Amino acid sequence: MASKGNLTLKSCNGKEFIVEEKVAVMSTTIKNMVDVDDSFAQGVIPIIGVDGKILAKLIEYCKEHAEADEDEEVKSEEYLKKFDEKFVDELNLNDLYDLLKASNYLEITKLLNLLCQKVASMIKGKKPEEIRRIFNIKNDFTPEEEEEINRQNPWAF
Amino acid sequence: MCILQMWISSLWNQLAVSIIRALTPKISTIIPPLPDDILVEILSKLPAKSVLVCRCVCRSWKDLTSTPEFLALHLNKNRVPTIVVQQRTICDSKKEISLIDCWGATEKTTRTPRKISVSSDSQIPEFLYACNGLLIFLEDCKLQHYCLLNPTTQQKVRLFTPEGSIYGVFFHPFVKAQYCVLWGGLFLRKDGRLRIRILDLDWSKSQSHEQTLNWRELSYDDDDAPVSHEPKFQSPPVIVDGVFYWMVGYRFATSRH
Repeated sequence: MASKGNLTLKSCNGKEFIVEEKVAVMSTTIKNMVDVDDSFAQGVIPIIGVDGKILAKLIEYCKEHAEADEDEEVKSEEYLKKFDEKFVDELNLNDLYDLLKASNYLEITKLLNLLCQKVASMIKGKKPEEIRRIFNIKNDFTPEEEEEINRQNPWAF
Repeated sequence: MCILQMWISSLWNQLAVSIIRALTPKISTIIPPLPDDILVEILSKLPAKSVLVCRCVCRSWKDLTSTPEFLALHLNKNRVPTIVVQQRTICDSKKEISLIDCWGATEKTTRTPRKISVSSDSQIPEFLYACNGLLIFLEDCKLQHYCLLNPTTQQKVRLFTPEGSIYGVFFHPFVKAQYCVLWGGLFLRKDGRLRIRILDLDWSKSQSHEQTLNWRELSYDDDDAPVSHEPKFQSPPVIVDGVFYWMVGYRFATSRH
């Protein structure tokens, strides 16, 4: 059992993390659970569909941001910006996708925004075939359709 | 010598490609696609030009970025670029129209005007109205040919209104991401009422540049006061909460959309 002010989060593969409440409630989903029912705060909160590795990453992010919200002097805006940059740069595509899904499900808006911005920056300025290669997307247009799209979108290239 | 250089560079490219392939982890081939709601969130953060490129990536990306919901989201998130329309008379019968994209411009930056062609056979297009980057030009005032242009996508629609004039282009307040054009007749209906027609523009549904246009007439209930005066060219109507308002001299006429 977690001590007062702490919550226990459990990943889908059984790993438990004890985190401060202010860190956990960065997730709107968890905040709503705790607000509605006090018993959640005492017990273990299962985070369905999120494995230990991703949950650890989420907690790392939330911890930095929760601390920054509390004390702006110790963790300045500039520090946070650098942390965010490093955080997303270290991710591979697989983790990026998993984190996106997890932050969407847990409603960690700030992180979701950051990750979406990262993916958007990977798309920006690229040609369709480059985008397909990066994100491993199959081109499912027929040659005729592709020709039609290229005819319609000459300004896109 | 030159051929040899080319051969070496092509060999080098092949080598580079095979190295990159070998280094790319195999795992990337089994990444499941992102859920649509996340993908929409990502794509809506892109500038308009990148969104157009994304429409060429695959079917699902094209479908996702073509819905009115997506367009509304995109419009809300992205600052609409400021475009200045410059009109210059070259000689008596010819005008040149250029657009200046003022996005992020400061006092010190200079922007090169981008020439646009409104219509190939029109000699003297006249700029009339603008709404959220959508521009209306009058191509031929005798024949009442108008041209509706989206400079971002270069989509162009010819409008032909033989019995009246166009009073403006408006952003649909309820069905966001849709525009409408108001057209009124100079003539009177049989019952003595002025006819006002409206055109809903749904770019996402149009498959070609020359989309089919469906004008619909504004109807009034019998109890409502009929529209007795057309809007003046100098003061186009404004749209507030889905109702058009326009000044008619000292009188005030409204029309429900």
